[in-house]
Amino acid sequence: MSFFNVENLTIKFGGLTAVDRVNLHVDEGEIVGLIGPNGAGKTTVFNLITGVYMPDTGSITFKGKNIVNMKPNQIAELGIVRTFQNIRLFKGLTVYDNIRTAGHLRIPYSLVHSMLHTGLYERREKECREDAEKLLGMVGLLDRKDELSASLPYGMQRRVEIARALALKPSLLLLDEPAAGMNPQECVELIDFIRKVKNEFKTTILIIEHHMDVIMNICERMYVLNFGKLLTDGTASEIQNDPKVIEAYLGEEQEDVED
Amino acid sequence: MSSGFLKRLGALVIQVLVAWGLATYFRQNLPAYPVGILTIFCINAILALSWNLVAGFTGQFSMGHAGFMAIGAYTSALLMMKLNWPFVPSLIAGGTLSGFAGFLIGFPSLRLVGDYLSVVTLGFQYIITAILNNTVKLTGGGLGLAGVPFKATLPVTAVTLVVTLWLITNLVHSKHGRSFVSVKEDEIAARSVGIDTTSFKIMAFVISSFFAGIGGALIGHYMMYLHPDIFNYQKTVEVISMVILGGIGSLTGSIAGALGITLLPEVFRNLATVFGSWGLVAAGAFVKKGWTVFYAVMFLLIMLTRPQGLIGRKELTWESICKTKLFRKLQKKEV
Amino acid sequence: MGEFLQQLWNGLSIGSVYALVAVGYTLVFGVLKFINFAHGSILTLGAYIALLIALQKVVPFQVAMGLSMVLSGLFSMLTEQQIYKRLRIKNAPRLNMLITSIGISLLVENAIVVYFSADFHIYPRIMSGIPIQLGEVLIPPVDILLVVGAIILMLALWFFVNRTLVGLSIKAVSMDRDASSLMGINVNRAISVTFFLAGVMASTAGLLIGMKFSVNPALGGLFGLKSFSAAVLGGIGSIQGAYVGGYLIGLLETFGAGYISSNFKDAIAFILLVLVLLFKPSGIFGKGTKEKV
Repeated sequence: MSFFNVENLTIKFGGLTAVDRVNLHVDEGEIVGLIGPNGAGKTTVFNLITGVYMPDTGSITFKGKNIVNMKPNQIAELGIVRTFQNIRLFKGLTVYDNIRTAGHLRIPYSLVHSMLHTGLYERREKECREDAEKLLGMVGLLDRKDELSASLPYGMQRRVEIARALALKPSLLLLDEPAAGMNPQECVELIDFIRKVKNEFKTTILIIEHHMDVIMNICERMYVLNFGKLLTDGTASEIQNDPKVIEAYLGEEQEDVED
Repeated sequence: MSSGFLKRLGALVIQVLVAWGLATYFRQNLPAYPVGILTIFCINAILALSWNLVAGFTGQFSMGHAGFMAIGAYTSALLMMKLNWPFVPSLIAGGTLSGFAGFLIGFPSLRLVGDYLSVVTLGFQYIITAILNNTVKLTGGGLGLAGVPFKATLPVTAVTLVVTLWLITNLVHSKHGRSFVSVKEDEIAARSVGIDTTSFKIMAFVISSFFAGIGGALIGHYMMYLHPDIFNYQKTVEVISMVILGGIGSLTGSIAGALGITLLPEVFRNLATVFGSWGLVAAGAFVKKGWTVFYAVMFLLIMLTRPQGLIGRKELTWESICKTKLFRKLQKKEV
Repeated sequence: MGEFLQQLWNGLSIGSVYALVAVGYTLVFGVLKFINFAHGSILTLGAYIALLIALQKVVPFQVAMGLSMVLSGLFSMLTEQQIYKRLRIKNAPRLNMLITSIGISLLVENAIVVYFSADFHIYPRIMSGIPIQLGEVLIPPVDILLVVGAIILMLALWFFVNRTLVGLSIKAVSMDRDASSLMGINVNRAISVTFFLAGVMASTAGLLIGMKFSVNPALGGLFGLKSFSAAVLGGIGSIQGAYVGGYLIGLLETFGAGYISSNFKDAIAFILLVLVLLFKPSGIFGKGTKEKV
């Protein structure tokens, strides 16, 4: 049984085919990249995978299950969790509460227990706090846990968002341009961070990224998307030397260098 | 049952007894007028808490709150009057039917966002009022329903407030509460971490409507009279004002706001008398007549200068009191 | 048949008034993307300013009405410039705008109650009360003023928005405020004019209601919400939608009251509102938008 498989995925918005018969697969334990020029449809693929959009055709199978008709929260429960290009933290909440909110799946108790604050509530809440603290420790944010998430520097907010996703113990983590807006130093830290996440949390990762140094460094394999279609796929060195890829990025390359 | 739970339950029982005791004392020793004010304050606080839950914490700005109050009010009153039910079951039934109405209305409405949700819930409130106005045989319709048994004494409303506050505070400090807030903060992000935002919105709506129904029922059992016009848009706005004044998203704020709005007419009334006694008859009459305009101006000033309300998002807890400078000063003095 | 025509006329005349108020909601929603809960109170304001001026017995009632339209328009504009704008500048959440608009409507209505009292008030009679007979239909002269006056105003507004530069700037701002300002459009002026126009339309509606029925401080609330229903039915953001919606609500309400039950007359508009919002929120002429993830 394959771990994660996307076949013939297509979606049209009006006259525009945003994603055109895309095929990709991810094996358990891999870090796979999804790259392509702006507007290629990469985030749309993520939105399709996570149930935000419904594809017109195609299938998405996760651990043997077809997840195409599922709602975003069901898909997250199943073990696929994503981060967002523009960072969507719960801005009015502290770092700690952002993580604790995401920990809800692991601490089952009913509404009655919530309203009465029973013993079960107490035990589960304690577990939730411990899980959150452990997670924050692992990502190096424990000392900032009581700060308002919106007041953190951008790079740290990214880490909080990734940590929040990890609170669900996902089997497949989808990172949407985690290095966006980062300087070279922050990119290096991010690379280490993602490697650490993979090793300690044993999660498979599919990552969209524009920063070539990040992607080339951590991805074993990557897919290249252009105008919604799959251009090619392969290892980092294969992709780097592929003339089709270079052509697709022509004009984009200058931007990347300046990033 | 865990010892922690028993301790918390015990604390609740103590609070209930204290409330009951104090309320009984007031009822026996204070004139009827202030007792009435306090009773109304307790009812208003319940209503404010209930609306804050769905609007302040879950971000669903429902404008149909008066409709749920109406359902609770009429249900409880009619169960007692026509079927001779005892008070407490009638009260609970009123809340339950309101909660159910919350489910029926919430279910379709919660697909809408922001302003549209407000308007659709307001539309539902008008429909509820129209139905009540037109079922004359059952509810008395536009002629009103007189003879509702008086049950909302100060002790009863005070205890109901204490229990309501306990339940809602607990709820807010739980994973369900955090899920409610996540819906308000960022629905898309909430779904991405596995929260079924639709069902939480409905849950918040139902619980909020339940307590609104309780509050409405208490209104009926206080005034001994019901009329659909009591539960109109203005009533909803009154409840909204309490929460806005106190701070949307703060439970302490709801209580403070309810106190403020309940006392406001009294403050102005006394001010008018004071002016009158000083010979400033014109000023007195102006204040007495025009206080509703001041109230509206105050409302606007809050929205313009301090929209987070008096208390903002903070809550009054033992911890927060301990952290205050005054408390620490007192501690130092003792040392 | 006569009955049908009578109801048809009644529906059209009240529909004219709904349309006048509905277009105000739609214009403001178009430029500021929020539902102005204070709009209904401008209707009441218009009705009462005329009364206030008339009571001074300085000018004829017709002049009082004209003055009222202008003054109400100015007041509406003032609420935007002094209140909503402050919130806009602070980038306040839209929810705060809605709550504030509730506050403004409270202010206006309470002020009217304080000054006049909460009762009904009757306008001075300036038109004959004798209905004109047209076949089997009885038409009170005031109805003609209602329908004709409303249609003239609606056409004037449509003309203004679609054929003048200022009007076009309003359209541009409702489509994309940032792009408009980048194109050199005076966004603030466009918004102010929008509010002025909305105020004029709403106050005219109030005056017409005053002439046909009577006025009371709570007039704006119920009327406002029903007109909002009309705006949503027609498709919020669309001027012709507001007009069509207004007439539809007027007709449906009148026929519903006549043929089904007069008790539920008021509820008809709200049932329609609920149904439209639940099943086709974009209304007849509107289009929907999706949030970008």
